[in-house]
Amino acid sequence: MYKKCKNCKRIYWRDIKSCLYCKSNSKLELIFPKIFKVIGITTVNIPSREHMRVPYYILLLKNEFGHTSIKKTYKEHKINTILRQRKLSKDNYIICSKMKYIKKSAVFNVLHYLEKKLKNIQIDINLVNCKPKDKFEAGQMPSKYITNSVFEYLDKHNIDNNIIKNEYIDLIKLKYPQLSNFKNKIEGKLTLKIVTIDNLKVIKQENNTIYLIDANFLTINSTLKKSSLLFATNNLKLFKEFLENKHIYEKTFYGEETEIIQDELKYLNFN
Amino acid sequence: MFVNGSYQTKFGIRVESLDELMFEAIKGSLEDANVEIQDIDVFVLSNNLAEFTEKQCNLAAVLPSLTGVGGKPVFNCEAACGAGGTAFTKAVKLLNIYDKIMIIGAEKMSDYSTSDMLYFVGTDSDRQLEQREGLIFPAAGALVADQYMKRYNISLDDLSLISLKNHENGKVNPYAHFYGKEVNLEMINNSPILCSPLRLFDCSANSDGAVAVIISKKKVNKKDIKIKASCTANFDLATFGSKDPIDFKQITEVSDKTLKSAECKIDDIDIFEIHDGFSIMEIIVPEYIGLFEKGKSKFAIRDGETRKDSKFPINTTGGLKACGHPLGASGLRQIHDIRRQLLGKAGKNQVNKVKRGLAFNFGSIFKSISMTILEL
Repeated sequence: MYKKCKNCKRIYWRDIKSCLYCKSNSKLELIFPKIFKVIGITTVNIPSREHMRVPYYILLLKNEFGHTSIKKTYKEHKINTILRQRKLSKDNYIICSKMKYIKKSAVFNVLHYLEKKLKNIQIDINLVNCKPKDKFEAGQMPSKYITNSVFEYLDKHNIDNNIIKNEYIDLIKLKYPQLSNFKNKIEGKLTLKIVTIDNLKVIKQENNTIYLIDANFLTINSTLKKSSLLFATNNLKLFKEFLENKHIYEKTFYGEETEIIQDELKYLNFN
Repeated sequence: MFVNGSYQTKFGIRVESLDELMFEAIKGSLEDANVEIQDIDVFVLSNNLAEFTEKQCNLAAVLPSLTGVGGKPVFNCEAACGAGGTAFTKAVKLLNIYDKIMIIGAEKMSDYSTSDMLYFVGTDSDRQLEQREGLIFPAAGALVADQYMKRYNISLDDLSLISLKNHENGKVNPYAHFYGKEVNLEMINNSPILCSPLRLFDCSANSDGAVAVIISKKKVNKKDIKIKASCTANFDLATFGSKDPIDFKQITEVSDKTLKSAECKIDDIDIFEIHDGFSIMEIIVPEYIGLFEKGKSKFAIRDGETRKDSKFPINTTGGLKACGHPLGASGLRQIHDIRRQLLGKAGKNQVNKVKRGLAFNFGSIFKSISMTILEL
């Protein structure tokens, strides 16, 4: 996902608010490409500190709007292959999307994969702010940001937002002992839960990791500045296995194939 | 504006520390320019990786510890592989305010493993869009090479010829990383593929080294070299994103500006230092600065026209390929080598009848570009 100035047509990969170049007041257009053509491939044979498993491939892609981007993969591809963002067809899934400058794109990605299923589920959004005195203003909180992105996606795709059954925004200014109470609250609901947990590092430090496996829709290290990965799953067992076994390379998810690089891995060290 | 003196340490795997390399270059340049350290008004410091390799930030404040001169401005300049050239341009602009300036470029890269260095250097690329997708610099160079080679029908043999020529030049340059080392076509062609299609010998080597250059407003000595023009500009960091991933019009933009400022044409230049971090760059850059038409560099290379004894001498002392590539020092090494050529002091690398030389340096993949033209 990137932004395009409607007036001067400049492209921005950063999440800027307006085009300073042409001083246009018109809102920047969000471009969310879904079709990619492989126009170049390099096989990387040399390991580097964050990418130790080799060989891997970097695909040079051209999207349906003509812009290029790159993608790391362990799968072999051929030139001119068309990659499409797939909808989920299987029952069990873990979706993982990298959160880049325009963090909304990660939410859009996972919802896009979920889209078929979205028709049949209800979403229960529980926002957990683990730090009693968070440094973020309420509107700037990553959890709030993600929730807003969910609404925006549903709206853009004409999906009735009635599927959101409950929405607890900034529900709890938690002190750590209260976490277990909150766990009980969200247990027993069969709907897809969206639990965004801010300041995950704090939870880890407190050695209370139970929430990680309860979260179906989870951001890792989700400060706005450093947020890196967004997960969604309907199978907690699968998700738990994934997290605990740290299958950081081998798993190919339904949807986007990804890996967790070292600086992100430290937040997944639960033992 | 003139270059009064310059000095390059031997590039390569050095036992000396970054401090010691910088000290050697500073001392050497002072002696070359016949200037006292107290006469320097301002220092501009070019380095890329000390934060990682030396665990040392604020190198500007380290410099007075080496020179014994406190109380003078030291400006840091960090622009990836293009830091040296950018620092030089910055210093030239500062001559509007100060009389005498020393530019120091230094890097220490041999203390770490290749995987560490790829990571450190990789931080010069876009964190979110590129680093997390594994786009280390040889991979970025490889994707660019792949696209360019396909569009203009360039072969790996063409890249081999560039590497071979630069190693032939570097073999006789006592300051080069690969000085005295025989590199032949067989070695180049059989070298391992790092990131397809680029092989080991298509990539410049991590190296230790330092260069210092002293410039002033006025001509002081007979051997002073005129700075005709020096320009720099930065562009959107991500290597890929545009509709045409190998349209490098930003090179032309900086080149045209520099040539206009120098009041000369590309045909007026006798010798070229072209940033060849990857061999493909020595094909791309000459085409975008107007030396050859698009897709025609390969013919000049095949015909030997870019050799040091030929019509368009490029990288006559070995380029980044054979001199080695200590990131913060390379841009200044190019300027130092142009000066050596203009003064007729390039030894076995000397080119005849050189009056004007051009140094083209960049950081990331054509994102922090600088170009300088020197004249005898």
